[in-house]
Amino acid sequence: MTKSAMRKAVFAPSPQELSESGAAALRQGRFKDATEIFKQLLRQDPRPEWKQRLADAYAGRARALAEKGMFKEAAIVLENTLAPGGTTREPLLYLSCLIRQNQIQKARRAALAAMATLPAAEAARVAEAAAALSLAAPAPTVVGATPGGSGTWPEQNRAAETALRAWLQGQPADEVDRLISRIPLRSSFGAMRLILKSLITHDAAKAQALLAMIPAASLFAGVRDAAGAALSDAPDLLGHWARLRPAQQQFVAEMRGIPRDRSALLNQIQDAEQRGPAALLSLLVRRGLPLLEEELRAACLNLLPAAPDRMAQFTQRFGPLQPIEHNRIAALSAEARKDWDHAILYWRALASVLERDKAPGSRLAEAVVLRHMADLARTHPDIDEEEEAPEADLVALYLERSLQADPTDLTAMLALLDRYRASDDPKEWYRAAELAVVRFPHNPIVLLHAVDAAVARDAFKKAAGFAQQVLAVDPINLPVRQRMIELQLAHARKQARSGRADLAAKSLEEASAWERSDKPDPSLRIARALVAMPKTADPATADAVHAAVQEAGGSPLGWFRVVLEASLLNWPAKRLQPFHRELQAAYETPPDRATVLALIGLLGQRDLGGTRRAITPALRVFDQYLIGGRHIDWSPAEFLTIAEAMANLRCYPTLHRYATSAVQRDAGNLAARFYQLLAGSGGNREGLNHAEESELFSIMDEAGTRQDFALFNRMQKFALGPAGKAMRRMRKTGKSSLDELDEEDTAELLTALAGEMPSVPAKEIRNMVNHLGRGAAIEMMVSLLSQSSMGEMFSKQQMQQFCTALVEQAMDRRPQPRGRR
Amino acid sequence: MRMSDDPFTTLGVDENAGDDEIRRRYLELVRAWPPDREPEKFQALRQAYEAVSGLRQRLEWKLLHTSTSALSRLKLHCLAGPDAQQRRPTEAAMTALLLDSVQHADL
Repeated sequence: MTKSAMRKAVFAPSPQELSESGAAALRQGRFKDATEIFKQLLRQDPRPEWKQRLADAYAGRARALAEKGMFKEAAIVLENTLAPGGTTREPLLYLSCLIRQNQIQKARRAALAAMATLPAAEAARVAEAAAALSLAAPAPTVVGATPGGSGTWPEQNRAAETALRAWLQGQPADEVDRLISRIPLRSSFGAMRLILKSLITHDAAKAQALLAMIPAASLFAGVRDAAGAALSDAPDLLGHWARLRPAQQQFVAEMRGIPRDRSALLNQIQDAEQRGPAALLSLLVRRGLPLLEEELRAACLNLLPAAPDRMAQFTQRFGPLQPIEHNRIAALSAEARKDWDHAILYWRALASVLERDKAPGSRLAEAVVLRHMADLARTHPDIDEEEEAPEADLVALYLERSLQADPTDLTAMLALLDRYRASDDPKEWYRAAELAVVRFPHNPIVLLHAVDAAVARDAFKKAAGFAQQVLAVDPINLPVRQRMIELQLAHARKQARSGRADLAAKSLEEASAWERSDKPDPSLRIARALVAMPKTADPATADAVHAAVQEAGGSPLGWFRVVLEASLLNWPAKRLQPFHRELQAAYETPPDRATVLALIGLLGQRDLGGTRRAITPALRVFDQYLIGGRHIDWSPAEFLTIAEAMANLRCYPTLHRYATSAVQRDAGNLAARFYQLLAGSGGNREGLNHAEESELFSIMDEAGTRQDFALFNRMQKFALGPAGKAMRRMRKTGKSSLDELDEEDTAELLTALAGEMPSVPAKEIRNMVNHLGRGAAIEMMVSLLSQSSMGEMFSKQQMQQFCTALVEQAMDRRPQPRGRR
Repeated sequence: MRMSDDPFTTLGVDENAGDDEIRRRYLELVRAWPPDREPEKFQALRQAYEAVSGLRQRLEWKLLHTSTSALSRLKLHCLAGPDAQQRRPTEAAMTALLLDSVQHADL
């Protein structure tokens, strides 16, 4: 023995160690190493367990190779495990590898060999593969194993082959049907029987139902899908075409007689579609289709907005575009680029061409374009303004023009009404609503718009007329019936205030016609009783008031209603004398939560029809009662409702007492602290002293920190005052940044702010200017303002402008702002 | 620009079709895809019909959208055979289809 051989013998691992090492390699997925180890062991001693382990290693290695797509190598590795019967260690994997390599006969033999050795479920699957392969590449069959159906495998195979060949050769359907019936449905060829049956059936629904019986996991599923596509109608086939594989497309094309070049062109079109509109347009322009010039042009035209750089190609092929087409394409293309200024420019040009066009439908098309322009102007407020009407609200302008072109467009009409409602322009809103009612007299939405627009102008009689039109269309609309009463009541109050008691009575009588018999309207009953009362006290008519009060919930709420109604009807206080005793009793009743809230609700009702001045006498009476309710432990929501109602009615002393009590109960109640400041200043921010102003901003900060945005916004509204209104209006018109304000907006804002500078009186400014000089005074003011909250809102340049304006104002040389927009 | 399902394509009608033709086609399709059996398909048909059932709506579609119906008709032209007759494929096409089916099935 040589030294080297001796060293090897000394250091060589034992079989036991090798076996353990091989097992570890198997566990760790190192199948190549495991194969080598077990091969080495088998060379020393061919133990059955090591043979088994080697086969495991081959199978593992084959699986790893197949996962990498190396099917040929995987099949070669698995062939190391071939048993005498022709089966391998992993028959399904082996079969799959052979099929993927297109070794059809070998795969067929492997499938037939594996059928007999596998468990039933796997055997059925392999048998179906064998069936499909046998039909694809017919060859003599030597296996007798039959996983399902009657008869032997060769018999089933022969029946299926015969039927398929008969169908392919174009034999009559009856003959094919006779042959199909020989294929057992439960055999591995059952799916083929269903497919052939569907292909000879004339009933499309039945054919699809037959195909639906083949499961998606079947080895014949690809044939099933192709048959289904071949039998479907053209639009459905088009929907499926891109999903069909080439072999399936070929089958469908042959069955339907589709020429090869056409199906190839369709594939090219679908491929170009994936690459984008430009690629598709290029293909269509280049290829074209005989006899379809018009369709081709229309298809290309619709692709142009997404591929405007292909315009030259288009015009070269189809000639120049008509002005209508050109503007439309350019506008759509601009929209695709989100270039809204150009989009509106081209749409405007298109509308103008359509306006001049005499073709039928042109005016309707113009209206559609103008409505779209209104949509664009609404969603993109930064669009450049119309040259011919630079001050106009573009949305309203385009909608008005759209309605001129198409007066019957309800959508545009409603959009216009909404626009005017939102723009706080009751005059325009009312004008548009009146026009809308003429055009759409039976549309409840239009009529309700008209009601609201009329109310906004205090035209209650007119509003009642519109409401009556709604009820003519929809007589059982309960909310509108109630609205009708409120409107008639509001009209009656207006008449009474102008000294026309007779007309007021008439209006109230008309209102009572809308009352529900089971639910009398307390305000109406009280108003009727009061209007019917002669100026000199009359116990008989006073009884009517008493009865109405009882119907309105009795004392004290009923009597408060009487007081409110009397105020709205412009009664002097002394006319309430017959009821003083009851009113006195109402004051003496301690306020309770429900009554206070009901009273607040009463004061906040819509269509009250009275100015604040009209209800001032009533407020004086209510104040005496409400003050007593300040000690009730109001919830935050209740407090906010009461406080806001009082602020709206300018009942500041009472509000102050409510807020003070609420702060005493809870010092952390931000809303109460705010309303305390608001009421203390009489609702005027200018009334706050320096400490109160600081307190206001500190509460705002705290509200912001607590994310109480409703309160924050309310405080901001109070803190900014008229300047805030100007800024909000500018935001509404789309000026999102203060830097973008034009001269006119800035002048307006500065004027508003300058008018709100009580802490820097003109005299002090003049003194500063006299002492420091104009420039230094302005600099100092800018520096002071930069440290205030305004410093966060304005740029230095804007502050400079603002302070210059203040100085000029103080020195009585205030520049005149240009006309409001 | 809004790109969405083209109602003309969904209904399979020309952009220049009138109210009567569109309604006739819609009713045909509803008979083929009744709402109780094909609720989703019916919903799509209904939406398409509502989108183009009036002249104003059709104009809106034609002016403000890029229609795909002409392209669809081109594609359908590519799929059209010489007649409605069903033919039998060649043996080679059938063999290729069977092999393709087995090759793409999950064993």
